[in-house]
Order: sequence, then structure tokens, then C-alpha cells
Amino acid sequence: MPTEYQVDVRATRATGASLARLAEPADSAAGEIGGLQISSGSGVSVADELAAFASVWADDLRAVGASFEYLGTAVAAAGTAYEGTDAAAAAAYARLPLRRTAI
Amino acid sequence: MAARYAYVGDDPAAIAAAATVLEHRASDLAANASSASGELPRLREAWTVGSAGDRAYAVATRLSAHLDTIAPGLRAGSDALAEYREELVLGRARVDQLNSAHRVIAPLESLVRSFGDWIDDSRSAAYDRAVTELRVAASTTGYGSLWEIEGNYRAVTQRITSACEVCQAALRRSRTAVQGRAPGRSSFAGMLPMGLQTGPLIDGFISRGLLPPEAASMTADELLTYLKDHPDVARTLVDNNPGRGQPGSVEAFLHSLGQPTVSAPGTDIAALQREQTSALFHTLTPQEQAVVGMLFPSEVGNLSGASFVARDAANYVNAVVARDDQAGVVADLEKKMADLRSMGPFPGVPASLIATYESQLADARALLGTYDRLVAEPDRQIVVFDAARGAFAEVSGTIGPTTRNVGVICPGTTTNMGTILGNVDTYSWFVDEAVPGQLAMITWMGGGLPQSIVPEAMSDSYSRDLGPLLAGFSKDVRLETAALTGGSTAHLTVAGHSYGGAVVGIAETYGLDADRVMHVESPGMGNDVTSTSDYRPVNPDVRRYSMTAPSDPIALVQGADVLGYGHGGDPDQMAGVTRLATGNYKVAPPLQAPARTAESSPITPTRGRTCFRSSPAALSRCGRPIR
Repeated sequence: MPTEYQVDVRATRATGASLARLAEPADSAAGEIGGLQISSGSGVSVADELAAFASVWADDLRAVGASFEYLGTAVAAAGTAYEGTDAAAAAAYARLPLRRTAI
Repeated sequence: MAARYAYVGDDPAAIAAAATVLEHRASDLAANASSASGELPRLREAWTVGSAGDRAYAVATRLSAHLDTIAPGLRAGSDALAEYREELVLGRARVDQLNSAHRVIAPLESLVRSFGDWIDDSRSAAYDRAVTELRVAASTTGYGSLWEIEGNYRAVTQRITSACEVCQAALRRSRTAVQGRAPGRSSFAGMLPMGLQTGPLIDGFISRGLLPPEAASMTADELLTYLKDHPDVARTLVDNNPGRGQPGSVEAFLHSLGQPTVSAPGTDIAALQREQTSALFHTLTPQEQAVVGMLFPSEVGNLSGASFVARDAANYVNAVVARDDQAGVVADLEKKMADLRSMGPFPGVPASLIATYESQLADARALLGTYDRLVAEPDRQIVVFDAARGAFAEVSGTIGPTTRNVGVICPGTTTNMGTILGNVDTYSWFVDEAVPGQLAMITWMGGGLPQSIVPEAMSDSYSRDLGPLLAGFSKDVRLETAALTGGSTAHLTVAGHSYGGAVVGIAETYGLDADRVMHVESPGMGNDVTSTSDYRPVNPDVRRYSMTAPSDPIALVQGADVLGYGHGGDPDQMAGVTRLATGNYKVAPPLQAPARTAESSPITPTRGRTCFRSSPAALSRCGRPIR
């Protein structure tokens, strides 16, 4: 396990939130592109190829959206976790003299 | 009055709308990519030291790099559609012009022709007038004759067809640049370290010692390769069952499937769970689906409703373990054989014992050969696998947005896990023969099939075991096809060859979900089935077909049914079943020798046989009925 950490908790949380916000345009684009379809009126048509194109790109954008959301949430949560860990360490440190006194 | 010439190609307005959507989205996502690259240094500055920070930065970098490729990819599609639309607009204007010219020229040309080849003096003035009018009209419209108009229409058709092909090629190039192994899916998810999306699950497995620490940073493909090379780790996953997991997690869901449930009377629990499972898996990215399959191979490999991506990944892990087990079986038998041979030919070792071991060894090697191929060929799509039960199903081709037909075929007597890949090779020919992307075939063997004609194939026991499983599997295929095609209009055909026909028949009594059912050299419609009213089809409009080669000995048992022997009514004679032609030749073409009917009898569909050639047509709903 690494023993050194250097993190700006507030900035980390803010960056996490910014990254998570990038999910929305990707999700929205995935929805619209996934719904692209044209009716195949005659034998000469790009309908099938457009459907395949839309399906793959929509899947790609969904994955991108999910990735940003997960990454952003994870980064923000990590910032909060560092803060919590520091608070817990401070509390543990504060209790140590009392225990020794009790002994 | 209807226009003489129809428009060619797609509606330009629809194409323009699609191009506009792609262009707008490309602009939005270019801005998104710019924002993402702006966040990268901020993330690094905020978290300069720490392994989690390094991992987050690596993922963000990869995401940002991928985002940079999206806008150009969408723009390529948008540009291609815009160019195609221009041709369509020009083409339609030209077609309008041609129709207008046709309306003027056609009656005038007809009038001129009505004078015939010889013009007598009394009609020459009228003729001259008609010719003059035609010439004036030609000058006005720009077309001198109907022949010229027709030629111009052909040119318009050709030009738009070319433009359409250019557009299709551009769309295909853009799509294939990001397409993953699974149809209709992007490869992007597979490039991310899986810890990004299935982190808690992976971390839990690492902490429990089920996976090594390095799994945290592997992609799905890397994990698959790792498990291939580490069958011991694969085995721990196979032996592991889903725990309670975090509430709402995939693990918790899988765990709940094994728990008793309380439901209202009459509830179809299996259908409910199938739909819930499908819905859950399809909210995951394909990479997540694959990871879940790999982490819970025993649970997911044959799980009704699980996506085929997940089942395939799970079954790959199951196959790795099965190969490892089978290699041990083969090694044991080889050692026994070597020990026996080393003892020399003395009376203590009867030849029959050696022959028995030799036969066992040959079967064991055949089985190992199958598992070797499954492990060596990870692109196979194995959606059913159970080494203990001899269950197997493989998809040939892809089920995706362009799929029009999906065929499921159950083979017959003597098929087993050692030989099944031969059937897969054979049936994949149907896919090769169909329009690319429009047909997918699934070779299904849900468990043991008879290995001898007498007595095993006479018994209904195999079909009674497999029929309900096939009925359930057909519903899985229907659900998965709908998910992968976006609300499917694809037709589902379920076929049984030889004993497989009896299996299909019994499956129909359990509620088979199919649009077409096909019996190929089938011994019957299912034990105890006397008419199609004995069936419980999910689709009441299901069409049934049968094909049996002339003088096939199977005809001797078709219709025979006594208690647990025989397989019900004769498919070729039953009301409501359309008989299809097999042809009379074993091999076609070349049709050099007269067919010997005896040669047609085995009719295991073999490439080139006339019956085999009818099959893709039947799978595409255009078989030639005999009656």
C-alpha cells in the first residue's frame, strides 16, 4: 500500500463534480442518436447501415456517459473519504492521551 | 395520375434530419471533449500523490482521448448523409422533370407513330403537324424521345445508387472504427480498466482472494486472457456463488434469483425473472455484462434472460475449467493405457478391456478437442455450456440492428459435445448464404442426445428432457433479439433435425416461442402429439414446415408412438404443417448422377445437398412447399 498522499480535498470534490457533469451531453447524445432511423422505402436505401451506425455510436456514447458519471462520482467520493479519514485520525489522536492517563 | 417514374433512394428530408442530428451532436461533443481535457490538469493538480489519484487520472486521460475521436466520427456520418441528400434532391428534381417530359412527349410520340411507316398524301399535312409538335415539345422539354427519357431515368437511378453506396461505405467505416466484438456495441467500454465501472465488485473479489490484485487495472479482455492462462483462478470463480452483495448490486440480484419468492397465484415466475434479468443486464455496458459473466460463470452461463455477451463470457470461463478437467481425464486414461500395454499380452489383461479403454480415450480426446477449440477461439459466442450435462449452444453470425431472421436448430442422434462443433460449422453456412447481417443461427444442444438409433433414439426420454429447455431457450432468444435489434421485427425459426425434431415437438407442448418451426428428417411431432392442437405456442400464428428426403428410413418410424417409444404424429402428413421439397439429389450441383434415394436418407444437412440448400430459404420464409 502507498504511504504518501497529497490531495486537495476541496479541489478534488470540485473536479469530480465537473467530470460527472460531462456525462449529461454524452447521455443525451446517446438517446438522440440511438433513436435515429429512417424507413427503407425502396431497394436503394441507407436505412440498415444508418441503424447499425446509430446503434454502435449510441452504445459508445452511453459508455462514455456512464464512465464520466462513475469517474466523477468516484473522484468526489474519494475527496470526501480523505476528509473523513483525516477527521477520524484527528479524533483518534485526540483520544490517545486520555487512555494513557487512565492506565 | 400516377407518375411514370418513381423516386429512387431515401426521403431527402429524413436524411437531412439525421445529418442535422449528427452534426449538432458532433458540435456538442467537441465542446464536451474540450471541457474534459480542461479538467485533466485540474484533477492532477488536486490529487498529485496517491494510487487512487493515479488510477482516476489514467481513466480520465483515456476517456478524454476517446472523446476526441467521437466528434470526427459523427461528422463523418453527417457529411456522408449530407452528400447523399444532395444527390437525392437533384435526383428527385430530375425525376420530376422526366415525368413532366414524359407526360408531354408520350402522347405526341404515340401520335407520330400512329401514322405508320407510309404516309399517304392525304395525311402528310397532319403527319407534318404532329412531327412539328413533337419537335417543339422536344425542344421545350429537352428530351427528344421516350427512349431518351428512359435512358435518363436509368442514369438517375445509377447515380443515386452509387451515392447511396458511397454513403453506406462512409457510415460503415465510421461505425467499424468504434465497433467492438459484440454486434451493435462499441469497443470503447472494453478499453477502460474495469475497475471504473465494476470497481466495488472487482475489489470485493480481490479482497476475498478470488482474484489477484492486478485484476483491479485489467480490461475485460485482459481478464478473459488472464483466466484462460490461469485455470486455477477460473476454477475459484466457477466454484464461487453470488453472495448477498450490496443492496441494488448485480451480485445481490443474482443472489436473489436463488432465493424462495412469494408471488400471486398464477404468476409465471420464470418469465418474470427472465424479464427482470434481461432488463438488469441491458442497463450495463457490454464490458460490465462480460465482467459480471466472468465473475459468476456458474450462475450466468446459462441464466435465462442474461445478455448473450454475459453468457458468452461466463461460458468461456466455464470452458477453461472444463478443458482443464478434461485434460486430466485424458491424461489418466493415457496412463492407464500405457500401464496396460507395459504389462504385455498376458492372460490377465483381456483384449476387450483394452478396447474399452481405447474407445473411452478416443471419446475423451474428442471432447478435449472441443474444449481446446472453445478456449483457443474466444470470438465464438457460446450462450449455453454445461460440461456435466453435455449442454451447448453457439451463435453463428451476429444478432444486431440489421438482423431479419434468427434460426435455432437442434441436431439429432449421435451428436454430442465431442462432435457439436461440426454441426456449428455446418449451420454457419446458412449465415454465409444469407444477406450479410440479416441471419444469425444458433446451434442448440441443451443436453444429452441419443447416441444410437436403437434403442436410444426410439425413446422419448431425451426429447422430454430437452423439450422444456428448448421452450425456455426460445424465449431467451426472443428477448435478447428484441434487446439487440431495438424492439425486434426479426423472425425466429426453431428447427429440429432428426431426433432434434422430436425435441422441437415436445418443446412446442411447453410453449415454444417461434414464428416458424421446421422439422428436418424428423421422426415425429413429439411423443403423444397427435395434432397441432396439442401444442401451446407463444405465437398463435406460428407456421410449421417439414422436409423429409424421399425414401429416408426415418419415414418408417414417423407417426409411430407407443407409450414412451416413438415420437408422435408424422410431420409430413400432419394438418397445419407445410411440407417443403428436399430435392432428390444427395449432392447438388454438379448433378451428374441420378440420385439414389438411399443416399438421400441420412440427410444430415451437408453443404451441397439439395435439402440443405432449401433450408436457408425456409429460414428466410420462402421455402417451396410440396403441398
